[in-house]
Amino acid sequence: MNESNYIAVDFGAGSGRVILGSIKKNKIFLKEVHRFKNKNIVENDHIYWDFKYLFEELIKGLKKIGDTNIQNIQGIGIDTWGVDYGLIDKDGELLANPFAYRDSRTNGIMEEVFNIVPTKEIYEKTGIQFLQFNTLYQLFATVKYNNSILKNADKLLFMPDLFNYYLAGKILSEYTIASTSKMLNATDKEWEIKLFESLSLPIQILPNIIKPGKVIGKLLPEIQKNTKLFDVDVIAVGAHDTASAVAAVPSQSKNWAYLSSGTWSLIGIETQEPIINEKSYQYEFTNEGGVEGTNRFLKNTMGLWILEQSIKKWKEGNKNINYDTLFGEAQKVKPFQFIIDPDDSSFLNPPDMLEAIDNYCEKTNQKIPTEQGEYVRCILESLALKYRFTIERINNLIPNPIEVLHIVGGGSQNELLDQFTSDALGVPVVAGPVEATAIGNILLQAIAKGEIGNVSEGRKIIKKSFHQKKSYLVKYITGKELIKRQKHFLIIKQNNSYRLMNKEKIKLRIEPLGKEVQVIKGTPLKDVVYQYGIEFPCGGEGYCGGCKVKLLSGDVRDPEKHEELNYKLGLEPEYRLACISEVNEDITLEIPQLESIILADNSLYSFTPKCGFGIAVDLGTTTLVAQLVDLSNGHVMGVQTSRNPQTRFGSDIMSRVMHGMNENGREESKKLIREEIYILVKKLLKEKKIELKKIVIVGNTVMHHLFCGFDVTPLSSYPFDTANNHSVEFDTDRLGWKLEENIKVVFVKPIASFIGSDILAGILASEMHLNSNLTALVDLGTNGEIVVGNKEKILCASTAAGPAFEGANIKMGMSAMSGAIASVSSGNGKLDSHVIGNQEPMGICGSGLIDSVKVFIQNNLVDIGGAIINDKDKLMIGGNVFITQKDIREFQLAKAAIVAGMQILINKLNRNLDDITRVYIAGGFGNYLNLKNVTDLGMLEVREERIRKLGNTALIGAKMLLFYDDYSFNNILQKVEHVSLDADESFQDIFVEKMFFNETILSISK
Amino acid sequence: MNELLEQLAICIERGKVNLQSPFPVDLKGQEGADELTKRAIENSIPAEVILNESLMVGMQKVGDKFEEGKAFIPDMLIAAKAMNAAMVHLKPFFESGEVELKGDFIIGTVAGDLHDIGKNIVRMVLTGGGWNVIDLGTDVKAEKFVATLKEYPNAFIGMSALLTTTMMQMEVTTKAIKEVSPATKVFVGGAPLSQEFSDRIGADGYFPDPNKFVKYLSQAI
Ligand code: B12
Repeated sequence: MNESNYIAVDFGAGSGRVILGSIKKNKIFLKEVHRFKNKNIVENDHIYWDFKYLFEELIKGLKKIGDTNIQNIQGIGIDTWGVDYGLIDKDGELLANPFAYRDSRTNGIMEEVFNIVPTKEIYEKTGIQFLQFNTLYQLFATVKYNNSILKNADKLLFMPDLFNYYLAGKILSEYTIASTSKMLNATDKEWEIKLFESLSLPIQILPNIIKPGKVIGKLLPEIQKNTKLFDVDVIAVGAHDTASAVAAVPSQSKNWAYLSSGTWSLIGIETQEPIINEKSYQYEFTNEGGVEGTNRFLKNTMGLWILEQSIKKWKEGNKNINYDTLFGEAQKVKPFQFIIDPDDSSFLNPPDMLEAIDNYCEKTNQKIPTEQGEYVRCILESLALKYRFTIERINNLIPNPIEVLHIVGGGSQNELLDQFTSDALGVPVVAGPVEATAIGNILLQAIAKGEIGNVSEGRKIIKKSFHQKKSYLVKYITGKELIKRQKHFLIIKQNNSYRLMNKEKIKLRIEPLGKEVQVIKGTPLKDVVYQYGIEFPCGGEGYCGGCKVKLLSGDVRDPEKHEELNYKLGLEPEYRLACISEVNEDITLEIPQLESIILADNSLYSFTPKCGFGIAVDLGTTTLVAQLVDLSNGHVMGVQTSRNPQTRFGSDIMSRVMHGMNENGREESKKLIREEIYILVKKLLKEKKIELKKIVIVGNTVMHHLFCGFDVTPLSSYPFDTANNHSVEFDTDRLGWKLEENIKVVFVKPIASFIGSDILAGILASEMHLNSNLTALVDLGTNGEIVVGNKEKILCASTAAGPAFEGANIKMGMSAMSGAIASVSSGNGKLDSHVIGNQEPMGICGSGLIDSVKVFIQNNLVDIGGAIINDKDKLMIGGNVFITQKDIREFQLAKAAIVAGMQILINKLNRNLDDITRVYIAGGFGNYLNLKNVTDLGMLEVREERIRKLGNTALIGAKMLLFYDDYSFNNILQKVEHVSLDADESFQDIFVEKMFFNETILSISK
Repeated sequence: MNELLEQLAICIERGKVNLQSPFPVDLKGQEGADELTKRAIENSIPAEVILNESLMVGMQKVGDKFEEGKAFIPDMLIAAKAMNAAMVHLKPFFESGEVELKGDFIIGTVAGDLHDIGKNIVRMVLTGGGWNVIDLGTDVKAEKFVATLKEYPNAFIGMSALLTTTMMQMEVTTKAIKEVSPATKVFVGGAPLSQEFSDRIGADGYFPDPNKFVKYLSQAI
């Protein structure tokens, strides 16, 4: 029968293959003929490809085919990875081996180029994102470092072009490969000459462009002889391997996306025109050339590398890996327990991938996987979610949302990943073909030879020829659910791995905790140590000395500045103030603050020393913090934090109440939280031979009920009663904790239905019950608890502010952790923001939101009613991060609730706001809070100098409670009265009145 | 269009209640909804025209802005105040039957929940849209809805809930209503809800925004 054959040669960075493709009865068949390794060679500190070797292997493959009696061989097509190139001289000699894209000569080159031509301008023309190895930068580096080679260079040929030249003797540049160079204009598909001129690059070395699907010429005579392949055309295919792979996507519908899945993931869509705009730029999408005049709009994100590296690690440990059991186990693991951002730089090249995953989970307050199945689940789920994230962004840029995702390439065989991806995206996933690149290569050859009419016809043939597996969504994860389950994932933004790769890492050791962490050079010390419970009494101004740390080795930036301050504050020379330090080299620190309990007024808590140790636990709705305290001196000997495992039932307390309203849910919540705290306790005690005496737990009323196992139904609706409002003591036995019998565990009693022992602890830490002046304690968290009083009378209320100040319910909101924009200011028309951890911004936390609202109002971008002026719907802050109109409205609701609550309490006391001499702000994110902005925006209607940030008052109070014997608090509680705001007539009026900002803000200095 | 009616519409939209009211600042010293409505009646403009072509137009405008996020809760409340000032003068015409309202609407916050600010806004927008609204307040039990429906058998019903825990009351209430009167349309709203939820409990629709809701209702009749 009629059968025609084509030879597809696919070079990859790790290996190359020669594949024979046959088209028979309208079907395509593949056969691998030759496979070889590809590797870099290193000479004089530079990394190259060994071109001669690669070409020899190519010829070997061709010979193998020539030696058979296969007839009717129509063509050869070459595809390779992008960007790399060789230079040939006038005689057609290759001047040197091509540099490999990983070569370091392009370090720092991007910046130099941007100094000449702005980044935006380059993107607008080329549509290509910024990777330091784009040909443009490689060439610029060559001009800079090795201009002599360019003098002799006649033409530049990309890798496939070089092979084509050696096979057919024609100097041409194939369009799709040329498009990866960042030297091509994405719209008119010609060399971007202007850019070359601006950068003084040699224009004459650019060859003419040939479109894929065109014949280049016959094999050179000597090659014909050598390979016994006569009358064979060398054909320009989608010479960039991804272009070939996309050509082979067996799509039949309109709104589809592709994912070329391997070590990396390339995810995108095929469009007629490039998509180049503000959003595509921010989202870091690239536009590369496709076959048949199409455009490949795509993004490069992490792929199965993480899994490959994990398996490698298991194999090293001599563990037998059976893939079926591995994925089978993974399937059984409970979903969404561990979510990582696959594009986090820590996964790029860690010595131990499993450890990198552990660290990430720990850092983000998640449980740490232990079983192989858990790791696999973690990796695959995270990849699927990242795909969802990318597809959502694509949907943002195109008129019709994606309806089906085609996965091609080796990774498509991972059925579990296919399924997860379908679930995450909520659209069907079609997996296969695996060999998309080779198939696309053959397809374009067949088109060039007129055997197949066009790509769409070819795709029908491919669909018939190769197996595809379709996964339908089993369970669509809705945005809301996702937020509930893994709040932090949504705020994981596209990390630009390459950019981060160049940032230097520094090691920081914290004593007496014995913790070692890695941070990016230049990170403020404050960003790091606050996670370990360090407070900054003066709010990071550098004048109180409360956050001093002792240097055991290394130093922080600007020792002179510190020496001066040390002198002023009377500190020894080895001390540094954490709040104004930047880490610039490896250091070891000792944190004196962990050696005493600091109270609101920066004084030390005095206590009667006891023997043994205690553990104080702040059981928050989202986060758990536990500190091990030496009861003989009050020193903190260890800190552990983790995420409240109940978050899987919802992030806010009402969804916890909901879940706990039936017997099963109540049991489940109780079991989870008890287990989690037990884990923290065990970690704190690990390897320490000490005598633990007691554990004191504080938390809000719902947490109290769920831990103790009380019915939460009375808390679910009006009139909101508690089922039990006592301190509850447990033996470790009853909790199922394998600890010494005589250890006492106490969950401290709540004050009212929505005022828990965390607030009671806060009252103790603030010592307002001992003070004759009026003091207020404000928790800017979701429940917005406010306490106002003195030693005679204390009133408290819960204003239900909502989670805006914690960064939740905010479009790009996140908690105050690495990657969050934590403060914003403006100067000469520019916004300046600080990102926690000195990284790319990934989102914004409460303090950043507060600052930006203030800045935008003062710059007349938002009016005092809170509306964004000029019909805009959002305002950019830094990086890709913005706030929306709705975010500002959320902020206004929260702010108004706090102010109204405070006003009502002070009215009830028959006093004025001005009588409050001290206002303490509780909560961890307070560290970054700008108090001037807080008062300017009217969040607290008191004078700025009266406000103090007190940090985690619940934990401070819990530590104090370790020294108590009686947990009934009769003395204090008889002064405390709870005010029900829902019963208050005036609430609504004040609440509404306080939603707008005060006109005076416009005249306040910035 | 009549200049007077145009001016009145602006007073509603901007929340200018009467001559004395100091807000909005740029309209200080000018007549407000109160005076202008009185004058329109004196000029024998039919009450129906005042309602449809001026008051409702003004209300619609703030409503649109609110929907876009450009106006906020205080803007709505003050607009509603101006609307009330105007309505005082139109009341006799409703009572005499000269002007017919669009229909009856029963609204309330469900049992166990006391959040009522959102519900109040919906009430105001409905009133401004020409509906006779019966507001049952907060913590409204299913029986109360059903009993009120007996008095106003053709009424639509709207429920509000702000708590994840009290949302469930909506299901109970909807069932109770549909049991006695399957044809009665029941709508739900409040921050934690969704259309999905509305479908699940057998209600006839969820609306995140009162303005959209009023437009929908006007079309529904
Ligand atoms: C103000 C407020 C209060 C006030 C209520 C005053 C009052 N008279 O309403 C007070 C302080 C008393 C209060 C108390 C409580 N609150 Co409260 N409260 C809020 C707050 C800050 C704003 C709610 C609000 O008024 N929004 C503005 C209005 C206009 O929006 P809306 O109600 O959604 O209405 C709009 C739409 O939804 C729609 N709509 C509403 N209803 C309807 C009906 C129909 C038919 C239609 C078509 C449309 C529609 O139109 C409206 C206008 O656009 C929110 C947090 C926040 N930032 O949102 C918490 C919040 C609602 N409260 C909450 C809680 C838990 C409580 C308490 C139970 C506990 C506590 N922490 O104190 C108590 C108990 C209250 C009770 N007895 O019922 C939670 C609910 C969490 C959840 N998922 O269940 C929230 C979300 C805060 C949080 N913790 O996150 N609260």
